[in-house]
Amino acid sequence: MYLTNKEEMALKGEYGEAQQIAYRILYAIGNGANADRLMEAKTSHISGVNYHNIGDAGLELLEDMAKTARFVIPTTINPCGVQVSPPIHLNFKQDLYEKQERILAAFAKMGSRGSYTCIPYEYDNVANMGDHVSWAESSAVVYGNSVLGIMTNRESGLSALASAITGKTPHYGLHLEEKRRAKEWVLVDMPLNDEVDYGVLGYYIGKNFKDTIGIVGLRAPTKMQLKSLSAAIATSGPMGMFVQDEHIPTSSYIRFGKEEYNATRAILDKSEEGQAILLGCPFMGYDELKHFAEALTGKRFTKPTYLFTSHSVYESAASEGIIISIEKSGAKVVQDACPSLSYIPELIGATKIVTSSTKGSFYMAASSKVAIELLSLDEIIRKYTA
Amino acid sequence: MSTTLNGRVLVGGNASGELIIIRKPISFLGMVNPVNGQLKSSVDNQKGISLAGKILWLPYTTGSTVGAYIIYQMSKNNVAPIAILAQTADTTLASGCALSNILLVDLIDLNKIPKDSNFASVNGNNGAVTFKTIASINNP
Repeated sequence: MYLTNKEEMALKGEYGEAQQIAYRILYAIGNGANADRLMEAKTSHISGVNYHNIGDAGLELLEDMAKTARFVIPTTINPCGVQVSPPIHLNFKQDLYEKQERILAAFAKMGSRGSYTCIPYEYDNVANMGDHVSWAESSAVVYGNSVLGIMTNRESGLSALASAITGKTPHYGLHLEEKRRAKEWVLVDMPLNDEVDYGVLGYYIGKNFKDTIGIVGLRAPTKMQLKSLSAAIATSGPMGMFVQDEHIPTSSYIRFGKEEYNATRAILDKSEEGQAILLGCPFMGYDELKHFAEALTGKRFTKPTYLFTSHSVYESAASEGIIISIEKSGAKVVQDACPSLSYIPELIGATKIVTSSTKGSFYMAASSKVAIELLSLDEIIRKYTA
Repeated sequence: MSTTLNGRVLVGGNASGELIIIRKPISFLGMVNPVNGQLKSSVDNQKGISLAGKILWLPYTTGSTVGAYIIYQMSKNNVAPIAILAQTADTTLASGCALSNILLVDLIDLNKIPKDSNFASVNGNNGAVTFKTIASINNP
């Protein structure tokens, strides 16, 4: 991989240890991926924030880096393992709070901004179509590339950290137009009715394909449905982008019909009556909260219900009275914490969880060993409110 | 007798030392103890073997990307390998070595390493790795 004189000097340590470590990471990853050079990244979004995921090893590294490293481009970070913004609805353990707050302090010292979020494209880290960025958080990467037209590889927590410190990212993969064009196609040969159906399709695609996929047969999906599709694709495989095509330019393609749908759904959905409802994986956006508030008018949940979102979305929804109207139903709106990897089921004493998220189904079943009932938001309201 | 193979340098440096070969991919998170640098689970029947100060060959790593932070912890505890040779370095391995400044060369094919090699010298400028068999490995 070609380096400019300045990059070469940074790699040798001329600009301090933090720059040197960051360039070493970009060089190792870029060279390994056969990148020809580094390019400028407009923003960065870093994963590996939740203490449950990165543990003491991650905490130690971040505190070491924060001694000298400073972010040079707008940088946001993922949800964490606890709720820090009031009103607090879930009682996480005190020692967990202490460790998590040290991680958040290290990121803040380096210059992260906005709220802790897995939907950085809402409020906190706005990039425009055609912008090259360096984002971790795979669900946001797939949504960003496929729906918003921003350009990013599926970065890791460390490569996105290196980009935040240098403003650079290796030039390969989804930064190249040719890699953003589909070479394989899926024909959707059944009606998809709600966000769960889109999630099941996404899970199937992620599991069976690696590179940019063309999807044919989608009928004007909503933003929420595309978000579900993106998150599910990212859950089951390494893919970073899909494109919606009008027709298939080849005779070879994979058909996704009822049979594929049922087999895939059965992996995630145990269809048992849930004990509690967890929603917002990825975090609920402003439009989803608004839709939810309207659909809930005059209704009350019959099971404990928690919705997860970022502080920025929460503030915006709260200022329009949306949070109050949701909470009239008995549901609680939780900020900052990751619903799927913060052991929420253990915290609320539930072993059977209802959710509308295929991504959440996968991760909650893996981390908390719970049985999942997968239903769309509208179905959940129909079944679990009075 | 020695054999030299040429790989791709991902993290530079120079190193020579005892060679440890792990034939199956490992996950640094869960399978390596970052405090003493030893393999925890029985990998290739090599449980308990120390990676500290060694030159390690492995195909690639699996498992959580947190493996990169584990490599960093090993390095801070002075029990990391001095160099890692890989078939193909994945991003967890690449970023873990980069973070900890551990020499990393990939595209080194296990089938081309002479069978009884127990010592390697790695040139991190050009990616040349020389393998040798040394009778008394403790006193090369």
